[in-house]
Amino acid sequence: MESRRQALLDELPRLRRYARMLVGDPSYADDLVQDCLVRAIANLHRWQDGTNMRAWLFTILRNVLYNDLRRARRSPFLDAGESLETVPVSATQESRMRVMDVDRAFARLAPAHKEVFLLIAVEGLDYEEAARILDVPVGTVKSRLSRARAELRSHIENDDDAVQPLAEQGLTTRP
Amino acid sequence: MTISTPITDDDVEAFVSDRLDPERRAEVDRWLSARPERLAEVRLFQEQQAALRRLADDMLGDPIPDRLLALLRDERCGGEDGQNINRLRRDGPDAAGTIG
Repeated sequence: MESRRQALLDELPRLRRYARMLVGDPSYADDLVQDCLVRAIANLHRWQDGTNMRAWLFTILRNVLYNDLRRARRSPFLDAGESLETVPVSATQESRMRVMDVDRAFARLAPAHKEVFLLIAVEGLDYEEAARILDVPVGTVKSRLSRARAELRSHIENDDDAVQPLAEQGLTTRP
Repeated sequence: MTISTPITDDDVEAFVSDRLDPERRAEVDRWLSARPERLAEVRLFQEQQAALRRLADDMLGDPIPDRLLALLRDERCGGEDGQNINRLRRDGPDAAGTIG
């Protein structure tokens, strides 16, 4: 059991990052991670050695998020205004502006596109693993991913209408 | 003469996500170089992805809050029913040690 706890600990930075990029708000993200950890620890005996701990944790985190959204009627993925742009980006990185643009554009992606992009393009999971986490067919993962890339591009190209599209959908910010 | 499998949209996507073996990657690369519009799109998608990965990589070094680490240290933090989660929410992280 100790080695499983260690495996959990090893995944913690990625789990926090996944939550953070999914919902934007760092402290809400850590609330989700906290609930996710409590569930994961309670169910550690059910986790099978040799299976993907990361995918297992992401699945739990996603369940926690969706339960929370349902319970609180919180708007999905919150806060179009609060993007990840407060995250420090080291000055040595070239095209700093571009990172900011992409960051802001990412925060505005449709939730389903955000999820799939994170799992495949950032976390590097297999299509099959992502499909299991998202509970959709592999074909859906692929089509959402290409739509996510296209949506990202269009947000970057039309940066002036920031926030507007989400507001039009009636999504509110986190209370 | 070798017969090569036609390049599909899936191949192009897998090219962007870096999940092709070197041989197929080279084939897609050749295919793209004959299609400037598609190539430009792929380059753009790669740049978007690289920028987000850089941003994401920077987050991995963030310090982990004690309230999360405390959960992993606490052997008694078990239970299947979700009660503990609610209690954690209500009482805050300090309550973690009293659960069980």
